[in-house]
Amino acid sequence: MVVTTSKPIEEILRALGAGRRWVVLGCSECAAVCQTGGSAQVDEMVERLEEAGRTVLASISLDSPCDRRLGRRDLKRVAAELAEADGVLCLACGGGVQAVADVVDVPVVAGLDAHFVGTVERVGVFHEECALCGRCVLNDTAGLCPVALCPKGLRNGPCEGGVDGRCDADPEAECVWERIHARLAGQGVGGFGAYQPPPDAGRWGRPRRTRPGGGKR
Amino acid sequence: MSERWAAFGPVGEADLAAFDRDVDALAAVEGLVFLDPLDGVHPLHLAHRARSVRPDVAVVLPLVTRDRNRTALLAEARAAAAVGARAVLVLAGHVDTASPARVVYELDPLQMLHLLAGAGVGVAAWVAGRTGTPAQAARDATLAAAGAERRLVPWAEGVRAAAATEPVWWVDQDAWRAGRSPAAGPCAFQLVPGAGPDLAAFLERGG
Repeated sequence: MVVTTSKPIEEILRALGAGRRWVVLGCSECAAVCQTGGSAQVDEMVERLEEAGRTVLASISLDSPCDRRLGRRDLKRVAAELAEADGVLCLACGGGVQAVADVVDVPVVAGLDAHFVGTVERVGVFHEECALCGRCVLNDTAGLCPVALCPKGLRNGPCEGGVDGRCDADPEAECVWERIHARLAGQGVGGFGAYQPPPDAGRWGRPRRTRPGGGKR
Repeated sequence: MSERWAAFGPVGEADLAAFDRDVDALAAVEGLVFLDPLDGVHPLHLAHRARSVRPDVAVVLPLVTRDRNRTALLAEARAAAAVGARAVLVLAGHVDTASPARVVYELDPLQMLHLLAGAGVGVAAWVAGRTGTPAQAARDATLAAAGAERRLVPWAEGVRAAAATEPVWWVDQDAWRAGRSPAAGPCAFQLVPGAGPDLAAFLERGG
């Protein structure tokens, strides 16, 4: 899930500029779970925009703003309002904002900041456990990702600075490589498994794409 | 195990004269190891100054891997080789508490060893790190297997690591972190197994 937080209302109002008539879009998936772009947050944003002197012509939560196909389908419900609007305020991740911008003819303003792909502990508490690095090492690291969980992103064992199993960069945290080593030992595996070379930036540089059948770029 | 080395932490611009005096006083040392310079003078410059005072002294230059890409690191390793460095010390350790935390390291020490070997850089590689936990011990073994010529371990762990393959021991890393910065002036630490971590006493003995 893409973890998002709300931009400050002052930043949003600056981005809206002189436009008076807006359509507010939310996201029924990730942003809804983050409570940043669900229907309740869309309603709250409508109130705040109207308090700030804007007119909200329509508001709607899209099933999946990052899916252009679904965006085109769902936005037909507010086609008349979009035709009259100065722009769209989109409460979704950056992918959602850009996908929406591709299928409407008015400016789209981002209302959220996207941070990482997270796992959910409970409402409002998310953990980054996958760095989307493009070359998963979990099969060699007992299911713990050092790229995401080590502040230094080291792929081949701990750094030199950890003290008593605590993280060098975050002393309140246990070194993930200590956890990996302990798990591997529990599975009867010694050491750290295969050597992990650095990512091939030339192959995995941005922007990344996938194709049907699993191909990349 | 009888070699005597001295390790230097950060050296500020204002402390270069004192650095020269320290190097001159370390008459009997085999060589000088330069640790993370933080914001101090670049160790290549320090090595050049040391060699001008002591042409015979060996130098080991740090390869600080944080916030650096492989091209820059490889270039620096080649520079170390070009100035006749005995080795590079691959560092992926503590970021000074005053520095922004959670920096990203493009390369970890094992990757750096592979890169140096693959690129044919004509300089040996040393590594540093504690060995007190199972994971750290496993890391140490991995790095040794990959060709790390020598390992530097914190002083307090030196005795425990005595069975390891010829480590060079350094003084307590935490004390170094706590007490030294480029502004605090030059600092040198013994890497002599079995000796105390007191530079003054070391210097009194003539190095």
